[in-house]
Amino acid sequence: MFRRLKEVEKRGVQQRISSIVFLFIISFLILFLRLGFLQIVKGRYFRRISEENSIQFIPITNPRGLILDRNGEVLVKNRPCFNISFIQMGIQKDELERTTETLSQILNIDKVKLEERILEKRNRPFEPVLIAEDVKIEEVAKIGERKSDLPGVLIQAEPRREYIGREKGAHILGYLGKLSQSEWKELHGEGYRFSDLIGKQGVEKIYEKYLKGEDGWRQVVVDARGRILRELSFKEPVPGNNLFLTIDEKVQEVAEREMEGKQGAVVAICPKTGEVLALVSKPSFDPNIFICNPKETKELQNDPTHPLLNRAIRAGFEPGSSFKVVVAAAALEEEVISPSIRLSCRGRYYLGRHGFSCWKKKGHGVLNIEEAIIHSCNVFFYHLGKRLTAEKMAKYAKRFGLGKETGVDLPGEISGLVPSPKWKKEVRKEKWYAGEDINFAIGQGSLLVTPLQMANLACLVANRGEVYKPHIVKRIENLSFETIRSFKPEPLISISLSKETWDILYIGLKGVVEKGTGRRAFSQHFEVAGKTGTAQNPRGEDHAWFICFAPALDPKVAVSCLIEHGGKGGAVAAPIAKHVLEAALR
Amino acid sequence: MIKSKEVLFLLLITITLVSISIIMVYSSSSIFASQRFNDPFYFLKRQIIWVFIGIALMLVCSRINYKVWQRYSFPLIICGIVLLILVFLPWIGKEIRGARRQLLIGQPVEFVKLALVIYIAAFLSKKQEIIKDFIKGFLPFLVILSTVFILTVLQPSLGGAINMSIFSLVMFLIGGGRILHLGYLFLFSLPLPYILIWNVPYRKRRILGYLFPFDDPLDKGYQIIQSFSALRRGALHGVGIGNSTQKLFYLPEPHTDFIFSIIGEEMGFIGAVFILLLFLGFAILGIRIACKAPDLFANFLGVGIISMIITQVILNISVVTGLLPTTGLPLPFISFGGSSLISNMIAVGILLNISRMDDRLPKVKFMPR
Repeated sequence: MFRRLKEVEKRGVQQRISSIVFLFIISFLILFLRLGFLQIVKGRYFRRISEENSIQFIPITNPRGLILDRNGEVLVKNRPCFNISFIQMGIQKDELERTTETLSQILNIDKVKLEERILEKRNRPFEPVLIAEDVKIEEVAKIGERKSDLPGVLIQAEPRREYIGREKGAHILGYLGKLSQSEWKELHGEGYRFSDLIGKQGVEKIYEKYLKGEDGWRQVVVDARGRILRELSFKEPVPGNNLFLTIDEKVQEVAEREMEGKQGAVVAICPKTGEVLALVSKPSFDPNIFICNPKETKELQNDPTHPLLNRAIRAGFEPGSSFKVVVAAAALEEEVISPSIRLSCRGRYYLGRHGFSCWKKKGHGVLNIEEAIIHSCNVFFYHLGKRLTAEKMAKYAKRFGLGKETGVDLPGEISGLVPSPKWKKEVRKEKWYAGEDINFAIGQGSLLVTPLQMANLACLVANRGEVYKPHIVKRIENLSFETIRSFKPEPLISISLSKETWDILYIGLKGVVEKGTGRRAFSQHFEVAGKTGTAQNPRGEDHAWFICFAPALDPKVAVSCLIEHGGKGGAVAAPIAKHVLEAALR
Repeated sequence: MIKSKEVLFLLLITITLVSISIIMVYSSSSIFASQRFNDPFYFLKRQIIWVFIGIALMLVCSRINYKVWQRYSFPLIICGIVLLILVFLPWIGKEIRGARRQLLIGQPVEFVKLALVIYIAAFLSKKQEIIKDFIKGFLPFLVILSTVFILTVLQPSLGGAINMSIFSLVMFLIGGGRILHLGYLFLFSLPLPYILIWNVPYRKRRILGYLFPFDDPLDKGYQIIQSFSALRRGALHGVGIGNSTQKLFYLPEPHTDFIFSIIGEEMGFIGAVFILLLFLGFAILGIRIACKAPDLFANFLGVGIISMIITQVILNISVVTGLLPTTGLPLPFISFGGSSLISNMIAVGILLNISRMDDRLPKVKFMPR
């Protein structure tokens, strides 16, 4: 066989190579024999056993943490949900026929479609094919009874997220959805399966890692009919932690009811802590549909009224006259006016030849700054705007927290916009006109604020310069009812203005509700201080604003209310804010 | 380039083996891959790329005069040792499930094995006269072998180290080494099993699992029992390609070291024996090529390459059939894995080149000095 070696032959290399080949052949022979023994002698016998009993690995989905309001009222829970799936591995053709027949009868689904769906996954026979989701308990019972006639059919129970209030508080709570490609890349090492749901919006998203918990599994021996004979190992799922919100379900309820059918947002905050008591954005949506209804989800995403948009933090609006609070404070601090000086309003203000009108055509007559706030006199504020200039107003607006995110624990907050001549030159590459100073003073022009920022502005006046960071979650509790994280008030803004300035703002805002533009916010139970706003905008009817706090002497709640294209702030927004205040202070 | 029947059949067998590899890697990994990476073709795509790289490198190496390897055998083994050390540097080596085997370019152990074969072949052919001398012949051989062996064990890749020592000893014997020296080596290495196995918990577990698999079917004996039941389910003609049940949840990572048990399950005894016969044919053809070679270096190199691949096949299949404890060696040409496939394909390329220098061709280039 190896005859071609030459001089080397003498050294016996060939002989040694032959003995190595001989060793290889012996080893291979041993392997042949071993395989024959395992596969042929024992094969038949074992085949029968292994087809009768097999080991199955069953993942157990853990329940996600609950979400509760500040008083322990459950807002989001998990309910048991039964899914029917089918594993086609080892099922004969006629058995499949019978099974689909029976299943389509029980579940009331088209047999042809059912077969199609099963056959689609023919080349992945181990993967359970989902046949029906969230099946009624009676149907589950029927399938359970006939389990022996339905080989390969699996009943799987899993916890399903339920948003009890449906549309109520949807923008706070958020919703769940399948992992996106990028989330999957980031998270698949951390106990996520591809089919898992993950928080996509609201606190579901921000507090995902607290709510998620850990999945468990069971390894069991099952017989040919899928009956569990014995459990081999078990890992208990760890449910997620429970989230207690700062939201008061009752206040939220009232705010939702008041906003029914309108477009806009309401935010109620406790000024002493920054706890958000209610946050409503309308139109709203039902988070439940994201879990199982892709068609409606698509419709929601394409709805021209943008129900998914959280208007309280993700949309900027012109503040209108409610901005006068900032301008008045700036004017007093910069001493461009003193409290006793009176200016006259004849319904119009001229800058050169261009006229700016007051909302009251015949004018307010002669008034001081306090009265100007109460009656929301535009002409008075035009004067202040002219004296202050845009730079100063922008500086104060920023000090008061506008043009910057509040840092609330909800995703996607925008900063709004505080314009200034410098900004306009840099960003828009345009010159700042003197007329813009005038418009700025009554909260018009490029200025954009969010309803949450305006609620913070109300807090700022209520607290005389102190604002705490608004937050939605009060504490997080684990399964043994221990608080694992709690959220303390965190200072956000701290400014000091003279006592006189605060007093004038305070008296002015109280006057707005007692005798001024905000009389419809007057309550018999407590004193309210507030400021109306009616913001002209290029998109249609004016936006109605009302920001307020109460009780005026010892403020416990601050509310900001915006009705998009609602009309006059005093007529539309003020009564809504009053009802929210009453709900919160009852 | 095909000048003889041996070369034709050797190429045919190699191509058949890598084709089987593509089919079986897909069949055994698709479900695992779709669960883990949401892409049933995850491993298949990579394996196909590696097969192409492997074939390309094989063709390139079949054109490189094998004498080049002889000339650079010492730098090659030094490079190999450096690679093995680099693995331990934290910013270069990648740690995968407790093992530092991975380098940015792959698992260096696979390439070092080839470098070791080349080095030993060169060493033996150069020192033919003094090979029987303990100090001059055996000791230098032992120093290089034990350096590489220790570094490989530290990777840790006990399987690779065992594979290395077996083919090195085979080469040493063929090269004319004395059996008595191997006897000393045996005595000297008696405490090794204790140090290498009993002291390392996971290896101890593997040995216990091998000796008494059914004592602890869920933990230590798990893999081997699953492998048994796969082979038994396969019986004579198998359950059909794609129909393995073991590959989903039972056998962890079924596309790597335990791919042979999925082959046994899906293609049965017939398929398993077919693969074994392919490897046996590969061995015989390779050794014929080696024996026909014009010089001693080529003889030793050819036999060394064949021993490297064939001892690995024997070790792997012995593990899968429960004859040996789990060592963690892939099945050459078939298991999923780039480094192993590519280094084996390079080895085949070298064999092809040796056959080109066959003594039937006119000899021109090498005059013994």
